[in-house]
Amino acid sequence: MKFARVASAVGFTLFAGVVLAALSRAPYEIEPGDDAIIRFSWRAAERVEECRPLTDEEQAGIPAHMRQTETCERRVSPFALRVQLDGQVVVHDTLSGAGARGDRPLYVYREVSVRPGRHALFVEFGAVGSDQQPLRLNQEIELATREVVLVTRDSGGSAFDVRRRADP
Amino acid sequence: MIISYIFAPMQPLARRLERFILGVLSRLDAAMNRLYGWRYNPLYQSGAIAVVLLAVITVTGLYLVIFYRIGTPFESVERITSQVWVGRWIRGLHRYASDGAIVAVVVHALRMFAQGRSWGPRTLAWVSGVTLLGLLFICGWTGYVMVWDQQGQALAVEGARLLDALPIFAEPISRTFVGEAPVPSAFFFLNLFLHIVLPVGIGAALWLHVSRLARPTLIPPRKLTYGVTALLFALAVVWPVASGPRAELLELPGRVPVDWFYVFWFPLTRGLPPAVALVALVAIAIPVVFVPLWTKPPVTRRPAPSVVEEQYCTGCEQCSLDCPYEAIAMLQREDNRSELFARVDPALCVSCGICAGSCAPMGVGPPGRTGRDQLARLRDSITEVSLGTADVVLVACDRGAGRIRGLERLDGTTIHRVSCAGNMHTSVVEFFLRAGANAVVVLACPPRDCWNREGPIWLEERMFRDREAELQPRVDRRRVRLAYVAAGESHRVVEEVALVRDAIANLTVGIESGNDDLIRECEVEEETVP
Repeated sequence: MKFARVASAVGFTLFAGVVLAALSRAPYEIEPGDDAIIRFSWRAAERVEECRPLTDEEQAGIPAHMRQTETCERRVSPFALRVQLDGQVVVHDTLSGAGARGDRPLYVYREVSVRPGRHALFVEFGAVGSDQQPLRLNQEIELATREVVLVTRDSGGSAFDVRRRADP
Repeated sequence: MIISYIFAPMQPLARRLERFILGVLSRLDAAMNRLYGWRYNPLYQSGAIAVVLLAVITVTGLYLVIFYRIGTPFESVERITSQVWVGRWIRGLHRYASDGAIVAVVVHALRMFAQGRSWGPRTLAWVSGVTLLGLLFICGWTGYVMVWDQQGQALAVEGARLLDALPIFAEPISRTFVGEAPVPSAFFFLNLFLHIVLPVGIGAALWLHVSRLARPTLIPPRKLTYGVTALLFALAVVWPVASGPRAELLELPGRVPVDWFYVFWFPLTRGLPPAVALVALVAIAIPVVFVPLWTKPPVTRRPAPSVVEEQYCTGCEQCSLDCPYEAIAMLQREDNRSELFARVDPALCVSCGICAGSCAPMGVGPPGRTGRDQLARLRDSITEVSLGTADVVLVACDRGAGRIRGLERLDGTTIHRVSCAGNMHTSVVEFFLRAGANAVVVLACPPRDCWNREGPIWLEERMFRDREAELQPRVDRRRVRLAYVAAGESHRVVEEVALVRDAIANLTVGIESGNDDLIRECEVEEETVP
């Protein structure tokens, strides 16, 4: 009787241990499927600064030691992002600067899921209402299964840069 | 106050939930008692096991941190794992102890919830316990990010995604993981810092958790401590822990081993927008943290705290010593009757009634449950005639054996239910024997499962070891039996009754019948009080 009880206790203890260890490493498909991803991520901080001289009335309302001749309103100009994949528009957004007043740098972060294979990618990013030429990328890319391709701006911000995992 | 009103409609749900969890736990307790015996039942010791596992995690973590490198996180963990004789085992023990700690804390919390030990003066213990569980989760989260395999990467990315929903960061944290540049060492430093600092918070939460308890049990029985540690160590040796594939930001993680004790929420939040996921997490956390508010019974059903009837208090200090919640202080007396008298702090008293059993002159206890009240109720209801043909009286704790169905149908026995065997005055036992019972079997809860913490321990000492408020020497101990029986152990009651019948089979002389003397003793004492 005592042996049976001890054996049961030992058996159950081992079983509980195995369950614990198994649940500690049970497999899970974090990203199901074979699709690849094109990730668009960069920072834009082109600020628009609009200044105007202060009127005499406005000057009078400011303490003498804080008076300035002009006031400037700063904001990050809104940008338009358009992404086409194989001729289809997959992203078309207008992005504003971060922060409550929209004066913080603007961050682009989009992910587009794509089937592996060769695709024609077209990206256009430019300030809304600006005379400047928008930044463009027009490129054929080959995507492997579960690959992530990063589209970002180069360090000068003058061109797009496509990055992918270096070959091992 | 307003929050109490908000949660008031949840009280019926709370009762149903408590009953359900209690039912499940009772069955599991009974099964575990059969396997391990009540002394080593891990379900009873879940809180203390959690503390031991936290100690194991701390010690093994100190070793691991020596070899961890924030510049090469994945490689350094791999190096540790490849130290065949020490590193691999210690890493395994660290991981399995972390998993076990989660299980132990959750079991402990469920037990406290089901037993209604979460509100009133126990609110601090509940809230600090939930905080401790939350810190443990976050600590585990940072621990898995430290490894920087694909599981760690997924956790880091998901954590950043959720945090970015909060409008408090100058730059989105997610940018760290887009793959534009390698993850900076500063991130791993911050993560390591959190992983080391959070246990300090866990320690603080633990201190708060037990701060209102007298004699908190932080270590389980030695055999259980060694058993649990040995089991985890054996697992670490036989089934060592390994990292998943190395984190790679420009590749989607696939099917990888994950620790479900820490990552169980992951599939639920991934499909949700970050703000919705955060709101859902908060919506789950709020009712858990506020359990003390929505499980608190209405004022009319709330047991009143103990009171001291000063005219009976002899200043012996026993109630103060026995109180499991340090709710009774001894104050200086000014009327020269004795040096001290007891005073109950209602803010700390949970109305457990342990003091009622510890006071020989029956001068303290919750209203209506003092030793005097217990005897008065018996005097009104129990006579030799009312015992009928029953030769054995079963005194059953309402929280334990008293919940066994069909207890009344046991031949030759009569049941006397008490709110807790630990707050029963020993005179009650004597009373039954004087009233004509051949034997009294007190069915108390197993000591580590006492809803009032130390009831069965003190009761055993009062009955058999002359602890103050002891069972009088004139009572034949052979006619008295104390058994630790859980709610699901009906077979044990039958066994205990059989054992006591065997013990008294050849006895002829007991205490003289008649309960007058005992009552008169109390009354005389009452009359002589100046």
